[in-house]
Amino acid sequence: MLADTSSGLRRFERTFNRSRLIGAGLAFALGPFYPNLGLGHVIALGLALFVEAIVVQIVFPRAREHYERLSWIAFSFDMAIVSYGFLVFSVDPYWTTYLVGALMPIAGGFRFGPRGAYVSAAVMSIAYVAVAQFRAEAFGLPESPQRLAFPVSMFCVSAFLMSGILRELATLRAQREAFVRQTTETAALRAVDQLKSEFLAAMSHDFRSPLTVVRGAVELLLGEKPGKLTIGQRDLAQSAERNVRRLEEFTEELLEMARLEHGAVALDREEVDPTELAREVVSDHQVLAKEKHQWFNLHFDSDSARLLADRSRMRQVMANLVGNAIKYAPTSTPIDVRAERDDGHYRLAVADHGPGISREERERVFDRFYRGARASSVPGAGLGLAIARSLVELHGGTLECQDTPGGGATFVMTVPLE
Amino acid sequence: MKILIVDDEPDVRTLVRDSLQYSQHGLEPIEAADGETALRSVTIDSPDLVILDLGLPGHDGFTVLEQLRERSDLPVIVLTARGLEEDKIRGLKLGADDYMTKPFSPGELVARIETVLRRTHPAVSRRGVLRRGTLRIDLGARRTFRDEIETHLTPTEFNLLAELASHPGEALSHETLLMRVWGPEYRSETHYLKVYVGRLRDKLEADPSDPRLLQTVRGVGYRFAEAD
Repeated sequence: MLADTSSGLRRFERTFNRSRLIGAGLAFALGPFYPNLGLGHVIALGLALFVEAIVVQIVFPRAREHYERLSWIAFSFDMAIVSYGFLVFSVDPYWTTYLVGALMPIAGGFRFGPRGAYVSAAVMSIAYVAVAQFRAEAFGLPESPQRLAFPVSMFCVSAFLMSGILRELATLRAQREAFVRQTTETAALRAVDQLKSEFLAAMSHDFRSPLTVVRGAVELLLGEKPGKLTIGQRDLAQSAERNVRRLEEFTEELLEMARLEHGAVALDREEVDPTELAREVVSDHQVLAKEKHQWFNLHFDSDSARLLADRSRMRQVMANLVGNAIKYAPTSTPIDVRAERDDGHYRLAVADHGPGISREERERVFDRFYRGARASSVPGAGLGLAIARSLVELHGGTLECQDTPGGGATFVMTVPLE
Repeated sequence: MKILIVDDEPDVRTLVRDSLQYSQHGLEPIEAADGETALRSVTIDSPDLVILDLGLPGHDGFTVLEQLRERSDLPVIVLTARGLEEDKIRGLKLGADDYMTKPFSPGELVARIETVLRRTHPAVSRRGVLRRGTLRIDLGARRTFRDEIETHLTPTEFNLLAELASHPGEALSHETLLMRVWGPEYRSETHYLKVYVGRLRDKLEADPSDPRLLQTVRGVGYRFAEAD
């Protein structure tokens, strides 16, 4: 049904009241011109509709509850008055008032759903057949059975159509509600996400000043500026320094992630030779690699490529991949860096010969805060790869994890040329 | 050398002060906790360099920097806790000489102060006068004229122009320019170069959107126009 709330029922009753007043007007204005049981009956019919309209007008706006029951009472009166209308004009040889009965399944359906439609079709059919029987006996105006069957079928078809319409409307309404719910949920999720990003940004910002002070103080201490340190004091200060750096890196990554999620990272694109950039990055990491007795094997295409990219962001991605390879591969193993171009793409692959990454983890390593099985012994927040992938995607490219032939993990960045 | 430290956080001021004193490079700290005090101190104490925090209460660092630039070329290193690219570019555009993101290392800060001081007080100056169209650059006197009217350039702007103008017709890479004008530790800080080339074009080019004097060499760097 459509009037699924008390306000809906009240709204419908207001509409039906207008119909009742029109009905009363018609009875008073046209009733006397039709053959009928007498003027008294016509006036009674008109008055009944008029009085019902007045009562509904008074009762419904004031009622606090039981709207459905009140509505059923009003509807029963409607059906009784319409049936009485059949009777009043039954003396007419061209008796047509029963046509009004076809409106009742519509009115019932709107109020109470298919049940209302079918109940009113049944009541109208019974009233029609009863009055037809009465006029055959009282006025000698019999109807053939097939003529009787037609209006009854019409009432039933009208109820059937009404319930079909109601079913369609219910589906549409459910779809609309689902859409509204989904939109609301999406908006709510977005708001939470926004809040989270803002929180991260604010938090990282508030971390930075205290971090400056702690880091600076430790550095001054280690530089023995305020005075010489004992071995124990130096150990403590070094441990503090290491951990301040971890905190610093974590704060930076959180802030960067928040900015990326916010869409606040705008690329400052320029022409970049990615191979030259990769060489610079590898050269910057030589010292770290040497500490772990690792070495780089470079396989760079001789053709120079030109990429329209943000130099510092591209460098950041490459540094993340090369840095990870050093961190996660065992000592005394090579790290292969391969750069090549093919059909409009530039591809950079950084392969280590460590334990590798299981198939199940290959996508998850790009999730925020995900720390893979191999990462347990290496400190980190689990944001580096998530940031790197977002940055590559901002450049219109992809970042994937594959197997290194012979064991190990390979991270492949592919970006479109120009 | 007097260094004015402008930061609302006493602990940060103390750290910077200690860093300057421990460096034993004759850097004398002066402190200001807000923009108004800082601007007053610039007039009264005449510092040689300002370290300016952008996140000040009341007048923020950008406003202070703007007001400072209206009256002098005093070298300014801005500090920020936000670390956003747009802050960096905005700071440089407003005329900051250098930029440091918190947390920074005291050693690096002192090194930067010295680089900026060296850059803005160059010991060796070039000689000669260069002319291009209506532009005249007096390398020895460090003065620039357009249509014989002097155009004011900050020390870093002049250094960049002099570097480019000393090699007319030659493409100088981003890295070369950054290393020669700013110093080796700035070799990948292309923002500085972009912002300063933009500022020079605004001051010297007839149409900064169609630069004739300071030409971009795509993927490489910049070139100063060859002789007419």
